[in-house]
Amino acid sequence: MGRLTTRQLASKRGRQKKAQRSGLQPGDMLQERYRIVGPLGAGGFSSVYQARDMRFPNVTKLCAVKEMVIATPDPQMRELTIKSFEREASMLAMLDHPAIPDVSDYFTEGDRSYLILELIRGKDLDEWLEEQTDYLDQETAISWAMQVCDALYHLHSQKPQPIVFRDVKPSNIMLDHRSRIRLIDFGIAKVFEMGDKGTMIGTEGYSPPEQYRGQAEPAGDIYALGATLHHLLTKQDPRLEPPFTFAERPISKVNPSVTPAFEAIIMRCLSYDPQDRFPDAKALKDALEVLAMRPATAIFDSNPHLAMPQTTPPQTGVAVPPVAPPLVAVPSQVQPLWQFKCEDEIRGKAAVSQNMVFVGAYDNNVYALNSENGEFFWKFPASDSVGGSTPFVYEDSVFIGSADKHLYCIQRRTGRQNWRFATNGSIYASPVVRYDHVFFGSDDGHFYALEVHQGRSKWKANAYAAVRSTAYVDEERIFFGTEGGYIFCLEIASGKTKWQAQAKRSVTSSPAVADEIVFVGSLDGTVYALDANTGWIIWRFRSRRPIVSSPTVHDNTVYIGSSDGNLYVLDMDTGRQQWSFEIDGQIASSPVVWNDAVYFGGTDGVVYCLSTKKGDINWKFDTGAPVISSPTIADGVVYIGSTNHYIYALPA
Amino acid sequence: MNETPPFIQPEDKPHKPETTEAKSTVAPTAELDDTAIINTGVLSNQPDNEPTLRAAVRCDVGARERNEDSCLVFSTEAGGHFSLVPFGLYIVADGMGGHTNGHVASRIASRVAAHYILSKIYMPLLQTVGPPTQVPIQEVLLDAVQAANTAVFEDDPEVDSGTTLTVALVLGRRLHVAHVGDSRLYLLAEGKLEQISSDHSLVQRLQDVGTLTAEEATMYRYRNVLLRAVGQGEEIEVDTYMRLLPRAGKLLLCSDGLCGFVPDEKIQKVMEQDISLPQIVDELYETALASHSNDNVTAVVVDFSL
Repeated sequence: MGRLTTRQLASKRGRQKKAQRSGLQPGDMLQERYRIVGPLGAGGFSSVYQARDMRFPNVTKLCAVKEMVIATPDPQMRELTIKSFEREASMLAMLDHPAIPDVSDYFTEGDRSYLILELIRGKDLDEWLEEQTDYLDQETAISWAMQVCDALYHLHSQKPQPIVFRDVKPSNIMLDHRSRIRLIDFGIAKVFEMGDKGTMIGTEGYSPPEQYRGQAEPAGDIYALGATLHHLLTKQDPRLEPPFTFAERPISKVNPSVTPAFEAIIMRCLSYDPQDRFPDAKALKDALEVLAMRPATAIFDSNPHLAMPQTTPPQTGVAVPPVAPPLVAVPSQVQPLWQFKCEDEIRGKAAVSQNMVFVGAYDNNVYALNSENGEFFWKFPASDSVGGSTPFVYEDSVFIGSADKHLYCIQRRTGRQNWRFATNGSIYASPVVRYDHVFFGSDDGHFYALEVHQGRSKWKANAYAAVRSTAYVDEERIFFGTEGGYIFCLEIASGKTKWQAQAKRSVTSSPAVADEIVFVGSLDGTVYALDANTGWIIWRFRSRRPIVSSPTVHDNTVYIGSSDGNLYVLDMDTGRQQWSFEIDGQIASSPVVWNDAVYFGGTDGVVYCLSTKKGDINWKFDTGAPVISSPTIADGVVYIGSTNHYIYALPA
Repeated sequence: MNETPPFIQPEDKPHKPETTEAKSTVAPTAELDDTAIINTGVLSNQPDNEPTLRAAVRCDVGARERNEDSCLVFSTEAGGHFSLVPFGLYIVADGMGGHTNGHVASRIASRVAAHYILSKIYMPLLQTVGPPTQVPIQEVLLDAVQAANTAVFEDDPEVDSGTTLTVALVLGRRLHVAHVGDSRLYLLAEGKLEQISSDHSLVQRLQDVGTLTAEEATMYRYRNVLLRAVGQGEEIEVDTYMRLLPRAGKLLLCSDGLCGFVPDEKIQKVMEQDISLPQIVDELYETALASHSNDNVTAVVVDFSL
């Protein structure tokens, strides 16, 4: 069925430069005038030979002979093909431009048509690319591109019809023995390729999208020149990449010597829509000329708007730099709405409910503050730190665990104790309430379910190791990790283990569940995605350092921090990284997503707000001491504590 | 104090809080209250019927002289208290033909991938003790396609052969997919036919950049140009997909001999008819021929109730 992949085409067309058909042999004579010396190259439908013009018997005058095979057996089609060839040959013969080789003759013999051209000595840019170890420098690239533009403009200006080159690519651009750029191998061969099903015309990788619809316009040559420049500057062969993916492979990422202005010009050439490209080769050349005259450090150079398509076409046909480039907002420091100082570090997350903020601190107190102005309401003293556990507000009670081994139930309004429940270990995990029961794990290696009003034990389950991970509780199940490196799924009704899965090290991170997938991080540095029904690992993502941050899932995307300093943003279904953001510190904080932005703290002391699209910084807030806490967002306000003892309310 | 918890054989059926049997068997370590069961008010979301996976296949030479498509179906069910999770493996491969051994490539690719997945995921399921596989399922699928790629590539590196490869694994209620090429996987559920895999073809790419409309695509002359195929090099880039399946529906895996000629709406109509699965695949084949398919035609239809 003649299936081909582009990879195959690339290897077939780009590299194998040997005559495939039983073509002309050295010594063969054409028209009793051109004696073949040897082959120069071959494509799918044509071959090029070096020949000697015997009309000059006393000197060795060499020329190039392009031979095209008339494949069609149909006599009418054959006639049409020859006519079409002769028409194009006549047009080429009329051209007069230093970068375009002269056509001196054409003829048809049997099932082949021939074109006699000026022989260019030198090497084509494909060969040049293979010899180079360094990336092409911008200055040379601009100079070559301007020479190609000159030639293209000459072709495109022909009357009554513009001539479209149709096949601009490195192997069709020669660097002659005087280091001048010459275009070779006109798309004339295309005439012979029609109707051959299962094979591509044009060169994969360089051709514009519209050429695959059979459209050949001058704008297509501009695209192909852009593609050629991209290849020359990045050394990424577009024949080996999916077509039309230049925008996904920015030049400056590979070759930092390329300025944004030059890259923007190339990217404009590579617009999918021909309308968005430069209006003609002259406009492109003018834009390049402006660039060539300016030193690379010129202020104007950093303005990528120069080469962007104008919303209103400029009258000169040249992209004109806007007078004042719009300033990109510098990530700004936000001002806190209020701040409140506790007597020791805050490492836990705050809870917000009905105009009240609750947070535990390492000074053993639970604080209740007015969420609008930070005004102090009450504090509740435990006998040891409450800084690890996040308060949970349910009805009129606040639940929190303490290093003094108790779980406390405190009256929301007054801060008085309703009841407390003793376990045999410190409680660093945060309690969660569901079905009038409070669920939490303890360092004593058990997981507890207490009735919420009196604090009586309903059941307790053996977790075989300390539980510091906060449980995710859904309608039927409870998910949490243990310091023993297990992830447990318990039935909420009975506390019976439904399944357990194993990580390689402790699971302190708290699981998140979405679409029946459990996401959790581990000190083994891995993010796990487990099937919520079976505990099977669906995928895993490895960071470089331990993970204590808990994941958050939003819009099919998983956000999680790592102590390798990155916030990782992963596709929920595949675990593939969408983007990451590196800070100068570790991320123990668990990210929160709100209104297209993700919020988290870092041990560099900074609270970050990034756009969820690509991770651009919306704002940052420097607290001056490591931020281990995770943010809580309510009514457009971010509440977050720092190890500098302060809790802050920041405008989201 | 970290101990190794005993391995718990997962059970499909949740404990019903109301039964006395459940009360008497709660964890012996629990400090029991009068009723050590929390009433969640949630009834079991398990369907009454046992889960089923049924499939029918039509892999036909069609208008060609040689069938270069290959397909493979493997599914099991086991009853009892500790019933096995539903397991179904479905593979379609469409060899790149004409000048080379497309039929060999598609055969090697489908079998190597199936062998790898069955040994890494299915065989461990049959163990009576110990946990199931610790290797992430998506890594198994990716490795399976890599293994298929290596096998096709090394079969005869001089011969430029290749194949598409679409692997669908149903495990419990989850669908895992690994995919290269332009064969397709569709999900039909709740009156909607959704194409899950995305074609690695020039036609698809031209549609992505807005040069070609979906309508033009079916008539497009370079429809048979792939951008990726198994067996073309030492490494292969593989797309993976994952879905939580609805309780009931149908899957369709097919080669472009079907979906390249028959529009989605027509495929959906055929699949929605109240006829047997073998009748559905036969009718899909007939529809492809009636739509002037000049290629091999493969259709694997899976009816699931999970």
